[in-house]
Amino acid sequence: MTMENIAAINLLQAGGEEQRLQALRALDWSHCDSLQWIFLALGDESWRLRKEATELLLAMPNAPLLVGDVIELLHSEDNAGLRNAAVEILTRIGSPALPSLMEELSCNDHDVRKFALDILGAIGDLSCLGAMQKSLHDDDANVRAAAAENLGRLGASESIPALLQAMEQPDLLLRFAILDALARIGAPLPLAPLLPFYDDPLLRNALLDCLGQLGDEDAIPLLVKALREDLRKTTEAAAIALLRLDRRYPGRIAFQLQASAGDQVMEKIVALLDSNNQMVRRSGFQLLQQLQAWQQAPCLLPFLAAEEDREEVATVLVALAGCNPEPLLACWPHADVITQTCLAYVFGEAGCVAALPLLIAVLGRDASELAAVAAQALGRLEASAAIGPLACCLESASEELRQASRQALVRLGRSLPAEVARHVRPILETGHAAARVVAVQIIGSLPGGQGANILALAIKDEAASVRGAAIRAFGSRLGPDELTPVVLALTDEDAEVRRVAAEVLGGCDDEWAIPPLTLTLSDPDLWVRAAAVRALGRLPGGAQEISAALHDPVGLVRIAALETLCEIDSEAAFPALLVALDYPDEEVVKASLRLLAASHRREWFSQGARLLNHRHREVRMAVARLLVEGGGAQSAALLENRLSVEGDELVRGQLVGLLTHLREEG
Amino acid sequence: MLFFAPDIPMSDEEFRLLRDHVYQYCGLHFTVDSKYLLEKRLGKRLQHHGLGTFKDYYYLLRYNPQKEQEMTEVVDALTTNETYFFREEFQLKTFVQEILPELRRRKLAEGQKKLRIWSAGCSTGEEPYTIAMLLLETPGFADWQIDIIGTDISQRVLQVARRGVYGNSSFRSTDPVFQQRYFTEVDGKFRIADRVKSLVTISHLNLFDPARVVLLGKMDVIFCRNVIIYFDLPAKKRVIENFHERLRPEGYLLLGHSESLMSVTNAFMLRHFAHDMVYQRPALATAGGEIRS
Repeated sequence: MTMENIAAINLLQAGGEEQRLQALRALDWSHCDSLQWIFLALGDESWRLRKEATELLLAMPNAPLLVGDVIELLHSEDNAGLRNAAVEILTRIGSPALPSLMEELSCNDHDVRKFALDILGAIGDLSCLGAMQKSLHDDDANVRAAAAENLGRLGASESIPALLQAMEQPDLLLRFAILDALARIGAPLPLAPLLPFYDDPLLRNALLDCLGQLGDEDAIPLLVKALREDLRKTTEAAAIALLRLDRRYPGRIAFQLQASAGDQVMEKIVALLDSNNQMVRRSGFQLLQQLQAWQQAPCLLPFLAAEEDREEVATVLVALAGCNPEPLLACWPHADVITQTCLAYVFGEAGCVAALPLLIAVLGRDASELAAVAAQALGRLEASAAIGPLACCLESASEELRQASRQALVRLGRSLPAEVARHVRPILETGHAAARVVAVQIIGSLPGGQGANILALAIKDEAASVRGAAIRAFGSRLGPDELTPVVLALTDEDAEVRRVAAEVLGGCDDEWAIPPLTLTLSDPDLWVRAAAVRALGRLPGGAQEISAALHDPVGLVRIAALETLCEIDSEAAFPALLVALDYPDEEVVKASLRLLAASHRREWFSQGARLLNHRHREVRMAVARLLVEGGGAQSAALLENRLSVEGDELVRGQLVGLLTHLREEG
Repeated sequence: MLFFAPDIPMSDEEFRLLRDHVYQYCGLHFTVDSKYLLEKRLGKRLQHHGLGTFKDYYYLLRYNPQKEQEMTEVVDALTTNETYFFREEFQLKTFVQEILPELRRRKLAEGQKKLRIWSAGCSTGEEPYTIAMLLLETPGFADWQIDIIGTDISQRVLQVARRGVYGNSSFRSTDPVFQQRYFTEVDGKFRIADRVKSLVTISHLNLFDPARVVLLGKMDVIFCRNVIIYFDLPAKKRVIENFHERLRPEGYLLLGHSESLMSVTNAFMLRHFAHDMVYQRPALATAGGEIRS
């Protein structure tokens, strides 16, 4: 033994926590007698030492050969820390420890047997199933429960018969553990062996929970029966279980509930709504829906005030209103604004035409959220009577109501286009500009070219926003007849209108749009020019006109041209990208670099050294980054050269970072 | 706060700079006698921008990022836009009774039912709407595709034209039958009917911008009345050249009664009709690659 080891061992036995830790780390483990000291450390009073020793032992190449020694540690009744360390080591050793652990299942110490089961469950190897199932019949109750629990952890359906058989033992703890394990396994379960346990009030809720997790349709009558029980907890467990079953067997719960439930069950379900447990309340809501209990719908209204229940309740109310909306309609006059807003949504979703007068009446109310929701609801009712009032809302001062009315009229326009066009058209004559824009959007959405004449007029509107909206609406239906007004819009005094016109012409798929768009490349507004460039890129044959924009005085337009050329044909755009590297506008240079990098061509790397000396630091940084991304280690020399003369701290920082990265990679 | 605009004098140098700049932009020509007019009308723009001298305003027009927008304000300030419906009735009679029938015959012979008319310098829109009303009244065009394009350099007047609502002064020579048939009274003013409006497109256009003029496409008739009187000879030549380029062969150019192409160009023929004389582009083949019209 070396002198250093002797000193370390002395410290391990007598030093303070920190000294012991340092001593453990200082030990020379090449000496075989050092192993006893690691076992000593595994039982140290300090968790830090135990952890360090655990890691040291597991790092030893021969750790699996030490399983027997570690298992021995499980027998240390007086040192829980040592046992825990042993459990962790054996769990992490894994499969090589299985044979020895399975042997331990028959040892005399019930604690060790339980430890072994827990370790086997944590390792998760199914080869121990047989041994574990045997432990379901262990003499010790804790061991039996641990066996059931760990069979649940393994999740193997092969264990189900053994678990069901073990249920026959008159052991409450084991039965709880088995029901929990069965739920964890999650495989379909024969109901018959479990039915007798329903009569045990202590097991009933666990059984219901288990049936909810993995029962089949056969479990439904039992769960419905449980709903009638006097014990509130049982009713709650049954309701939750039914909700879970409903997810697996949609429609079956409703069928059986409706067939067998009476007033008593209805009362129980309504009583569930008072629970503080959201899961229980949710089960109550769902069961009312399953029962199509439209008479009970008003009971749900108070829950609309609670944020956490609102969405769920609204969905249930939609279903109930779909069965019969009368009870909800009767609640409307006395309901507060929040409730009315939710009811408006419900009536719309449920297609409740009887609510039409109520919804129309609130369109004029000050509460804009209620009016907006009512407008959306009216859009869903497919009723022509709603169109006129909705059209009036397009002139509302409330943006929310205007947009909701727009959505509703667009929806109604799908089935009633002529009526929508008839009611919306007057807005274009009398409404304010914002209303006219919305009117144009609605007309533009009508199917079958309906309202084309209205759009043709709107394109001549005095407000630029309306003209722009009309051109955009034309865009979706641009035929030869509509091309001329859109081309003329390229001469509009409003740049936004011209920009929209250029954009729309790009989608017309007609080569006749190329000459006007080419002329638009000299528009005074840079956004219009950029839009013309992109539009030309979308037209067959338009690409060759784009090159003129590469000489535009504004970088934005040049960038649009480079990007568009790359989208059309990145190979053909390559020469233009190389030329653009010399443009004075650094944004153009950066865009070219980005496009070149995306092309995965490396020819531009030859210009890397020159660009690393670019006057603009953003360019230098972009070049450095792209050189490293594309050229890897070969770019190191270039970066180092630049670093030797770079004066900008930000660039220097990036160069150092990139060079460090290259060294780590290399 | 300034309640009255200070009288900022315009030096001769400043007048020359601004005059030439406006001329380069849109061809509007001002003689030395007009210095007072520029001083008075552009003085409001100086006040708007808080500038102390016309030189500063000149620099603003040259270098400000929004210089294009400001130039439209200059044009608005310097131009007169007084017009009315059915102006120069004798010329309109020629248009309806002689030009339209001839165009109809010619177009039908070509198998076309399309007519394109440009009202250049349309101001507040009375002229293009007059043309539209006349076409609605003329038999034989009901199923035709009619495009009447009114253009002006002033954005302010284009707004009025697009709105299509007019006061009494616009109707000083309008037959009450037309006013009743094609207008609706709204709050003491008169709103043009949609069927008239639908034939007319209002566009912003500087006649000195040939690239933008091309965007209009080819025309059968161009009305440009009482516009070129504001231009000097070189400017007139440029504008008339653009009109020639835009007209289809045998298309007509209708100028104001006091305007002529004498010493401007001989590219047009002068046609003598019963009520008026009108310029016509001779019949020649046109080059291809045109914008569809």
